[in-house]
Amino acid sequence: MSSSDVRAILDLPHASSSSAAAGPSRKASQQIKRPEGISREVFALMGNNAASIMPSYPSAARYKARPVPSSQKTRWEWSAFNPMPSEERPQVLHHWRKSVGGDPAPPREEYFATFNSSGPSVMQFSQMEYDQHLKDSDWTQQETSYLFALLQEYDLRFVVAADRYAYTDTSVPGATKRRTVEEIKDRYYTICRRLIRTRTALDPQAQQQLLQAYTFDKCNAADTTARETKRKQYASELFHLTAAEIAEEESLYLEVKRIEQNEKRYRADRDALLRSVMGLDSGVVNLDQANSEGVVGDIIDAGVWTQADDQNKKRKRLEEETNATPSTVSASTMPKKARESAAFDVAHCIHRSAAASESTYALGRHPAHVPAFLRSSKIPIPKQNASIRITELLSELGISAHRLVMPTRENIEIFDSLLAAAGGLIDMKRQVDRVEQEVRTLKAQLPGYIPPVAGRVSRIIAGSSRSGC
Amino acid sequence: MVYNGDEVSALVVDFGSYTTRAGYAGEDCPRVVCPSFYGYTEQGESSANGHANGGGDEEDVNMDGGGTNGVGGKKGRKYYVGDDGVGVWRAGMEVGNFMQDGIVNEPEPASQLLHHILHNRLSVDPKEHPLMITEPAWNTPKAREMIAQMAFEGEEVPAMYFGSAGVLSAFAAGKPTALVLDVGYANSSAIPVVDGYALRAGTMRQPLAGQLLTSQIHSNFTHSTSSRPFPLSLLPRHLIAKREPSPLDSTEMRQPKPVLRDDRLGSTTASWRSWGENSVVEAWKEACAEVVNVRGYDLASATSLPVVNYELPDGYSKAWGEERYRFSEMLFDPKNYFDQSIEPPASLRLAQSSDHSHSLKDLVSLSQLVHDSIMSCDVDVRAALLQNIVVVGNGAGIKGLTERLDMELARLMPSQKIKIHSPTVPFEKRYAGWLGGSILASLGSFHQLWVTKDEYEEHGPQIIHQRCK
Repeated sequence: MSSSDVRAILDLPHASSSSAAAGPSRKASQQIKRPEGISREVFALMGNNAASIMPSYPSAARYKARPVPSSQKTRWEWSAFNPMPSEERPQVLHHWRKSVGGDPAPPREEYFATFNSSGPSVMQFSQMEYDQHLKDSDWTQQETSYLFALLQEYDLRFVVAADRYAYTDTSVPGATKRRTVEEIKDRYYTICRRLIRTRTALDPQAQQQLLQAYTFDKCNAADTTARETKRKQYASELFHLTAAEIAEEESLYLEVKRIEQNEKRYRADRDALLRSVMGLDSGVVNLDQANSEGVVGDIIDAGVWTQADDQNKKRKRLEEETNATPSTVSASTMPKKARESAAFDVAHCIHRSAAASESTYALGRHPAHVPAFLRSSKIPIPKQNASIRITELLSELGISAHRLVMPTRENIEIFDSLLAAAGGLIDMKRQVDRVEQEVRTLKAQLPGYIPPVAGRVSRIIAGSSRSGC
Repeated sequence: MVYNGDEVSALVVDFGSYTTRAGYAGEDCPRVVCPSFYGYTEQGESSANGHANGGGDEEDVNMDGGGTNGVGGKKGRKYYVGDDGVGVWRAGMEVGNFMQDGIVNEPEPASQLLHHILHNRLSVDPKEHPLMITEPAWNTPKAREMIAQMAFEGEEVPAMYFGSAGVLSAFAAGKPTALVLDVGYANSSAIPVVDGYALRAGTMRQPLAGQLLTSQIHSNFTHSTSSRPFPLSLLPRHLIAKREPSPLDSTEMRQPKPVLRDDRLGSTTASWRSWGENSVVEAWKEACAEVVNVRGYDLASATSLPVVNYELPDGYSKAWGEERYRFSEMLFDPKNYFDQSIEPPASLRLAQSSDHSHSLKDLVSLSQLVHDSIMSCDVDVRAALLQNIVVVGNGAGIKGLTERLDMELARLMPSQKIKIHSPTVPFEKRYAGWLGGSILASLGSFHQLWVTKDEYEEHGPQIIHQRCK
């Protein structure tokens, strides 16, 4: 409640300017003016919100105004007009016009001129521009001017312009020359592009856009790859398909769609499987069709890696050596492409993964997709049955079986052969131990001879023969 | 605007090979439809015989200048034009047609007819009304200049314009782009219209239309056939005094024996007789002729098609069966159903074979005509044309023609979407050209195109060729 309200309640006159001088501007800005017709108390209840509904008084309802008849008379008169006000011609057409108040209707010839709309504007060129940029061996300047006049006349309707095209060359009397739609379009658009390029533009981007818009690819006799003529040729061929051809085309189209759909489904299934089996290692993240083919081979490849036997490794190594020295005999017999790639590999120190060139059954059918990996993650681990003893053996030698400090290719190979040698050694040792045990047992039995059981003898023989190998 | 201020009360005159249509622009139907045939007598004898035989009233016939503009031996020739011209029997009156190949060929009777239409039928003062004239797409500059001279100098119209009939028919159907198939009297023509311009390259025409059909039927009727042992007389009503009523239920074939007007027979000319007989055939054709719309015509299936009772003026009455279908089949199979041995009308024999027209020797079916017309247009507009085929002309009124055309076109181009539009109201079909002219001449946006009289006087006929493109 403000002081003005108190004054209003007490029926006091408004405060003098001295008391309100403290902040008239603040008050004026904060206080919303109380609208007429709302009592002060009601307005105070509304708080800061202004009234959204104004009171309406039924007494204020107004009736539709009574039409006031005009004192002026209206009549129709037959008036002449000229349909083309731009030209100084006598008025030849007549129509009925409404005139008000006895005066003759003012001429309203501009009315019909509003219908005088023109089509898209045709580009114009000057003589200098023609001499500098627009010369063409196939078109004389007269013919170019004729073309532009024709296009102007038919509002750039190329089909109609080509239909009406009949240029009479002054040098060849009597003969009229016809042009195809493509020739006309080509000439016009070429001129437009040249003009746009040569004229200085305010907005280079707009200029580029214009150039784009005027691109036209026509075929001349030599260049059969041009699009426009080709397109029309194809389109016109389509007009004379027989019913059988249409049916065949439709069935083929359906077939293609079906195959595509199946393909998509298979690929999705395979990718899902691959991801669930191999995780990120599979390299299948967002696989597209191009590199998805070899994934199956990759799985096998990954399996092969850990269980690789000596034979395989030897062969791999051999291949790598031949790859590394392409000047050997095999180089000359290799196909040119393979030779080139080998030379390229040498030059750039690329070593093909052995698995990539591996021709197992699966790999031969699927070009391998090998995801990138760290070599250290592919360090061979010892065979399962002998792993503990190999580890022990290696630790005796002071070598960690699980950590290779420098997992270079050579080191891994050496490490691999070391593991193999250790495995062989342990095997050998186990055999030796067993044979020694047999010998010891037999020697112990020798004083009090007990004839051996048949199965036992065979085992001894087998064991000795194996040790002999 | 209360009143259509675009209205300039133009007149539209559509010269056709069989009838000439005229009326006010903005209306939906021509006020005057009268034959394009005219009768003429040599001046000397007409005054004696014409009145003696009570040939009918000659008030409407313009006698002024009948011989002044005549060429050579036509001096003193008196013309009878309009409905009361050729349709009234006069002693010694010959019949002619001022149209040749759809083009106004003879200036004298044409100007007489124009005068008759404007002054006697429409009762207007041609000085107040601009005149829109329709012309075929293949109109010659000579014919144009002749009509312009007729209108500007003969009738003193304030302004005129030539509208191409094909374009106007397309406008009447509400289409700026359409292929208009006009099956008329002398010609059937296919005119591709693109954006309101008739393409000259695709315009095709041939004399396979109403007149040829009539002559074939006429020849068949006036010769005895296997099913009808006597020839039909085909006498028009003018020459018959009295005939016996024919019992409806009688199945036996009997030759009618009407009482002839012997007073007229003697002085009837051969050309008028021929015109009268052809009119009888025309009436029969209009009432009875149909096109087999599902499959082609063959005698076995045609006998099972519905029959129609029709009585010729001489009293010959019959339930017409396969004749209704046999002759009109010619429109779609001229190879098998156009009888070359029957003498065709003389005016049709003048038709030349060219890129845009066929002579009587190499007629093609209507569907082939449409096909050829579309195929000679640019590839890009073909689809639009195929989907906007407009069939107009009196021949389009033959029942089943549109359906048959649709079927034949689908057979020719199975891969394309084809849509045929034909007005359902008969007079819109027949007078489509006039209707389009009526629409065009009443548009406010059209008035700049009128060729005014003073322009014509200033520039000569050249202005017409320039403006009406």
